Amino acid sequence: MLLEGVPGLGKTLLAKSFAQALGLSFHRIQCTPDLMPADILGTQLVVDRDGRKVFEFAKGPVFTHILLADEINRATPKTQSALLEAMGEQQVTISGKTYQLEEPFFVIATQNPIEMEGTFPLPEAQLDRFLFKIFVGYPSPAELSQILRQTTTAETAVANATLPREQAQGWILNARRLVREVLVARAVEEYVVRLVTATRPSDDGTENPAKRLLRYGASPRGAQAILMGAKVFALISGRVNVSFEDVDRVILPALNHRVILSFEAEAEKRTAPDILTELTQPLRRTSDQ
Amino acid sequence: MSDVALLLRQVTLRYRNALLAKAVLVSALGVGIVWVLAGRLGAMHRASLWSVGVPGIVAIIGLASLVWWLRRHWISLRGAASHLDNALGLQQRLTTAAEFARHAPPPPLYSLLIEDTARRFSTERMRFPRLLDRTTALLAIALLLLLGWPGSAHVPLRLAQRPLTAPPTPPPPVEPPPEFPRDNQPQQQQDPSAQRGSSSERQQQPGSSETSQSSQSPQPSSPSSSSEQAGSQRQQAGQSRDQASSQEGGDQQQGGNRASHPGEEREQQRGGADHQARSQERNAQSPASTEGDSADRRGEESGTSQGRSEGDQAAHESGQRGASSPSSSQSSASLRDDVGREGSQSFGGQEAMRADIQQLLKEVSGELKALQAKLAAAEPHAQPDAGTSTDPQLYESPMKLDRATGNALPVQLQTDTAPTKTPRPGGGVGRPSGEVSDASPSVHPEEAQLSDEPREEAPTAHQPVPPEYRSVFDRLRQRDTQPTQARP
Repeated sequence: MLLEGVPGLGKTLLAKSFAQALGLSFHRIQCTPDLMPADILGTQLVVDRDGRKVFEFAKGPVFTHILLADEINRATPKTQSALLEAMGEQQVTISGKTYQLEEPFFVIATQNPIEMEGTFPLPEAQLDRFLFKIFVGYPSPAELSQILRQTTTAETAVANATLPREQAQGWILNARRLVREVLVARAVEEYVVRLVTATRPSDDGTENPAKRLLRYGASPRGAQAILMGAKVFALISGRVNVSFEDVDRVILPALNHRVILSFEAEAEKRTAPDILTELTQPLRRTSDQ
Repeated sequence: MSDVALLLRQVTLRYRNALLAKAVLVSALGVGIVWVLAGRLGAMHRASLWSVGVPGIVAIIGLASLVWWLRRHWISLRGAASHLDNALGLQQRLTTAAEFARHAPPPPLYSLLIEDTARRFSTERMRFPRLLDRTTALLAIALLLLLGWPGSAHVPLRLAQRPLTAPPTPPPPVEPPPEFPRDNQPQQQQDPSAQRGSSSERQQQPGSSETSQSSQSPQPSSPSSSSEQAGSQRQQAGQSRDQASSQEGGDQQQGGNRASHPGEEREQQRGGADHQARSQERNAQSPASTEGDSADRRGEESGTSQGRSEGDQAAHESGQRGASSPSSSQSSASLRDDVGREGSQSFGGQEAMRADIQQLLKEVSGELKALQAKLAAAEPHAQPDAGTSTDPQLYESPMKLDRATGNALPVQLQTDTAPTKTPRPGGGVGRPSGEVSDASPSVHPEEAQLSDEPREEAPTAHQPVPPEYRSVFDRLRQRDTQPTQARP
């Protein structure tokens, strides 16, 4: 998951609390321009064992359940691409040897939108591997008051683990299998297909709103992300079937980072959420009929 | 079949039945409206384009609307599930359950889905198409309005009662002049009052008792009886004229034996008979007959001269008739009386209506004349005829100009006080101020003085004359220098 927001909004604390609540292991990587891939994945170390010098693989911070990559856009593309295999295939290959990452493996990356000088924007291929992109905004006055109360007093709030550490891994894996069993009606599938298709500029010469505002539309990975997210929301709502409302809730987080704006949209200072709302709103009305 | 599928089938069937029932009711109301509309338009004797076209168009539009509505609301099994999901807020539970019901084996979570759906499903909140709703109520009201509309209902009845064309009116029965006994003629001539009385008696004879009584009564009791009375009185008037003319004819046939003032007696008799006839007609309030009324009008307007001529003609004709059939006059008279009575009774209604209309026209014309007379009396001077003269009050009296003001018209012209943008002082319209602008060239007035020296006029330089015209110019010069000769 990619979190984008100005500094100081608690993105790192959120990821840490998330890991604590789930009872899973958590590692944090502060991305800098001099960060090397070996710093993330691990490296081969020469150790002296039994009088012999052998190479021993030292695992990097990626070998964890929940990985927080702070300001990932500050790392070099080489370092960024080192996470691609880990995020996509749940494995790391170093010196020709493949190491499987322990399930569940979850990457939370953060981005600072204001300090873009000297940064390396994530490539589309890497962006497409993130399930959701969430814009973290400023808290409301009530939330700010609660934050102050919880973080500036002698008793700071700490997230309690909902599951024991030894059972968390199994429970989450079972939940993952359960999510995949959630039933989806054909009408809901067609609705997801219509939404993703609406973001693609037409190549046959016909005019559609996406042609003017988007250079590239959402990929099939975006449809997968929508459906999976809708299934999770259905389970959270206490249902075993996906509804149209569940799909509506995950459209923007699932497609925000998967569309590329056109020059005209950038000139008009349009954002991806605005364009996606404009493209999908007409479809949302007809889906309930 | 699972419970959910069965439930869906039952709901779908119930929904379709409700839809069909409403469609049948709406169709019946629509057919009724079209039928009544066609009947109304046909009863009003409209052209076929209206009586057939309008109901046809309404029927076509109604049928198309009904078909469209049915197609829009008709639901399939899957559509029923979606409809229920939306109606009951099940969030696609039924749709998903209906879809996975056909899977074999069913998915692991299917049972949970069924259980959850059955717990939330309730047909009480389901809205089926209602039989009586706004649409059917509007159609029923429209049908009732068409059935109970008063105007169109009476039109066909009224048309049925009144014949399309007025039946031809039979001519009034012509009664032959009664036979006067030849012995009594001198007595009748000598005693005009007795003749008048006999004529009145004879007038009473042909009529029946009812008509005689009704002729003497000035005010009829009912419109129908008044119409009968009018008819009978008109007959009597005609008879009286005939009698008067027959008396004259008889006198003429006699050829002599007249009183000292035969003309006067004749005129008295004629005038009496005419007066009696006129009074009877006025009392009966009946329109004048063709000859008699025209004779009366002409007599009113310009003396009795024309009436006399017509009366003479009628007298001559009646005298001839009287001479031709003296024996059967009484029987024919009685027959004619009967026929006339029956005719009057049968055509009394129409005659009464016609009499009413003509009386109304008379009254209106009389009122118009009275109004015109009042207007003419109110105006101090006669109105000029259109296109013939000018209304003397069209222009006001001439206005004398005041010589002290220099015959200036009291009309203020816009241009007199219009501002001007002339830069020169004293410029613009109005009286000259006598000022001379600085921009104007300086003028030094000098007195004109004649010079003492003779002034020789230097020959002006003319354009040289072409050689070919020199002779013409010489001739002209010679003519100018020669003394002018006196013209004849």
